[in-house]
Amino acid sequence: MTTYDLEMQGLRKIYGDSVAVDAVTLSLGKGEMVALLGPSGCGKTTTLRMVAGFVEPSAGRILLDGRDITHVPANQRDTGMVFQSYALFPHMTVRRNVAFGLRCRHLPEDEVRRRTAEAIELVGLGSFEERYPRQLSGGQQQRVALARVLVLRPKLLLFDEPLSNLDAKLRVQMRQEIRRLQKDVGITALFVTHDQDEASSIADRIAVMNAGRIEQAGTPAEIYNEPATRFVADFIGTSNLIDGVAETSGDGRMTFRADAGGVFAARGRASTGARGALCIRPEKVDICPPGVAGAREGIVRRTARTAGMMEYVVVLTDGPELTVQEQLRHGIAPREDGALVGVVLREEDTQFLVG
Amino acid sequence: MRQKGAALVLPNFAWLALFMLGPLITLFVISFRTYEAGRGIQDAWTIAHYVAFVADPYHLGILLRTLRLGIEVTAWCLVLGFPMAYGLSRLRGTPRALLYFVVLLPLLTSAVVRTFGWMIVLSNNGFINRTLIDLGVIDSPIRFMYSMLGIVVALVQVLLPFMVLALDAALLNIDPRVYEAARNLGASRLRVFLQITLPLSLPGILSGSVLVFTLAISAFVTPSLIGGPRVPVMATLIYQQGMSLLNWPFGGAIAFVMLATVVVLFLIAMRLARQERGT
Amino acid sequence: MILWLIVALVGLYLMAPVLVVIATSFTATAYPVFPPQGFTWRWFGEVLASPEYLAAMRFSTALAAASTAIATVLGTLAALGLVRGRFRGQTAISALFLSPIFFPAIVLGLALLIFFNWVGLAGTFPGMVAAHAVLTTPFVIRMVSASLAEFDPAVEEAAKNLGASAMRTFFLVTLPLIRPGVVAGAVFAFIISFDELVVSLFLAGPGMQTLPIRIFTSLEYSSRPSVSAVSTLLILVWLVVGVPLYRRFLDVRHT
Repeated sequence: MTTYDLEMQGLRKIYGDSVAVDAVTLSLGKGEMVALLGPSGCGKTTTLRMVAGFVEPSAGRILLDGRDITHVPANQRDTGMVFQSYALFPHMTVRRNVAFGLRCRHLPEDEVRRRTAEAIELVGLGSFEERYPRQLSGGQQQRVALARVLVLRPKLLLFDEPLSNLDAKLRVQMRQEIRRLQKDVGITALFVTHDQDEASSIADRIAVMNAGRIEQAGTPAEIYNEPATRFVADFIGTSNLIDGVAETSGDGRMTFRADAGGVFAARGRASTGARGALCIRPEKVDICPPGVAGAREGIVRRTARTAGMMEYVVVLTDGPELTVQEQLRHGIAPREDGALVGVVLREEDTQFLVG
Repeated sequence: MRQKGAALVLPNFAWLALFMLGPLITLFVISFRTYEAGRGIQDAWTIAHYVAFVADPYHLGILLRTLRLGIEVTAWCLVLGFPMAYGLSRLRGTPRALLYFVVLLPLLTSAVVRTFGWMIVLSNNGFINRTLIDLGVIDSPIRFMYSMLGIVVALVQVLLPFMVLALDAALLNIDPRVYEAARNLGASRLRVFLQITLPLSLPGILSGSVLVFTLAISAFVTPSLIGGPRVPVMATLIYQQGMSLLNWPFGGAIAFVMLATVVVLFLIAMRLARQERGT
Repeated sequence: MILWLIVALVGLYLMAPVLVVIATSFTATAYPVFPPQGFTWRWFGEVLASPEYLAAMRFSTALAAASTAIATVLGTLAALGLVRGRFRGQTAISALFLSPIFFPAIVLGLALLIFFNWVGLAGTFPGMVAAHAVLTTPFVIRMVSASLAEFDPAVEEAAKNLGASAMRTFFLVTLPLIRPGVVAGAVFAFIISFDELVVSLFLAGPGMQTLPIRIFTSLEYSSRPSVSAVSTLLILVWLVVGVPLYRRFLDVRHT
């Protein structure tokens, strides 16, 4: 037996002459929650729908608990899907919605009744059993959709942007609740979203997708701190991306010459002359008075105040522009537009990305 | 409350009051007047025409035949309309537009023209009968002309579009994710159809059926050309009373029995629709 | 598979009468048979040379033109009131205005016959025009309402904000924007009236034959392929003019 619950091997989906999903390979460990994160149209939903059996893959295999389910009909896959629109049956009460899957499995009526009641209790909708979906709020409908799949104890949970129809506050609350329920029942889960905060807070690992491919898969911290590609660096959080060429390289360290001017030390490997970008997060750049040893100098060009934080655009005397964030602590006056400042770029926070 | 825009609807309201509501009220009043052959409409009041329509076996037969026609046509429209609507709902783009055109075709041809087409096909030595005899399926021609069967064949064709459109609208209203959810929960295709598709298209089934039934029992051109005097229905009876026998009070009574049937049906359908919505 | 087989068969059934009528209009036999035998344009020539058919076409055209003129004015005003207005009984008024589409024509025909007989309009051209206007106005209302619903009422408010009077706003902003709907409604009304049979049967006076009445009466006795030919002409007109209109009409019903 494998240690993986779900394995996608070289999944491809081609519509006419456009490639929707290209060579997606990803494995989910038992009980793991993985988020497929990417902009709309990146192929994440198509990937999910291939796993659910609603889209026939053009190539590749899907293994669930070691069994090849690539060509198994959707109703025999033992996956539990929560839809973006919830897709509750509008003509059935909460109870009948939740019992539906059990009835499809021809279980004895008393077991259906018992498990249905348990599942409804589990999501805290005990007093809403006889309501119709339209008589419930968005959050309650969401819980019914959850109960409806949890009651079946499926091998795999599939979430298709399940929180995007909720308001911001409820979204955060449901995130935690889904996370808690999934850990409690210990069912492996694949979670599709375009919201990076949601992905970071709900998933054990994130797979960032772009143009049908997985650009990087890793823990939320890895994805944020060590983006593997320029796309990931740009898509997750905000990054300074300075175009230029690699100069010398070795031992995981290198020097980099920016097109706009200046030479920088960075982490990364690249052959001399390789084009790429230097990536550094705005909050990792330290701002200090000019003349501090080891600091570069620059002039503040634009300032903007956000909650508890100042954001500056600093034009380095070397040439490149940097966005820099500074926490506003007591006693520190915000920098003035046009002021000469020093900035410190630490090598370990600066990463070279090819492309 | 300010009656904004009420002045704009006034001209059409006046027009309808004068040329639709007024005449209908006149007809209603006349239907309670006595009628004497040769002397015409009298001033005395009576409900004899309504009584005569249900008490006289010949007229009662016409009423029952008309209702039977409505039921048969509605049933066939449901049976043939569901696969059409279902097929339509599964198509996109050009194939859908083409099938849509085929479905609409009967509405795009005048009543006389399409009835004429059926008369050619359905006659004793028409296309269908000759083909069936040549194939050895039957020995003597099936009586389509001047029979209920012919009226049903021709009427279903005309009214099928209304049923398909009503069902198509209902099917389009169903979130396709609901089917996927049912499949995901383990339902077979048959179960999806019986427990999801069918109940969710009930509003369309209901509105389509009421519409088709109403149009079937009030249809005139098809029964009069294909059924002829041998198969009288309410509509042809009204025409005969109004234009040949000039017994307007009796014609009016039949007209209002027909209207009452239609109105009652609409009320029942609205009621059921409200229950279906569960409010 | 079975589904598409049923769809194909039912589709054939729906098209049958139209295909048959068109085919028989070219038959070389003296009566309409299907499948047609031989090929001739003769019946079209006969229709276009027949004084009765030409008179019926002229009469139907005049009747349709006159009732369309009235229906377009009544319908456009009504649509403006129904879509833009806010008044008591609006839903009921809307239902009443659209009711002639499905109202049993046989009942309306008899009612109008009796009423017109009483007020002296029976068997007159104005009487027929008035009745046809009742039947066709809902189609204008539908089409104009669709156009009205499509554009942002803020455009009208903008015009007023810029200083335009209500009149000026209507003629310079609203009317140009809904013109496609008004034209479509008028064309729709025209073909509905041109096609109308039942009410016309009740109201037509002696010598007043519309084209549908002419075809209807010829069918009651014996039919020549010239009936097929004139029907084919009607079908062609419908297909050219009617198809785009009906699509639009139905789109409105879905929203």
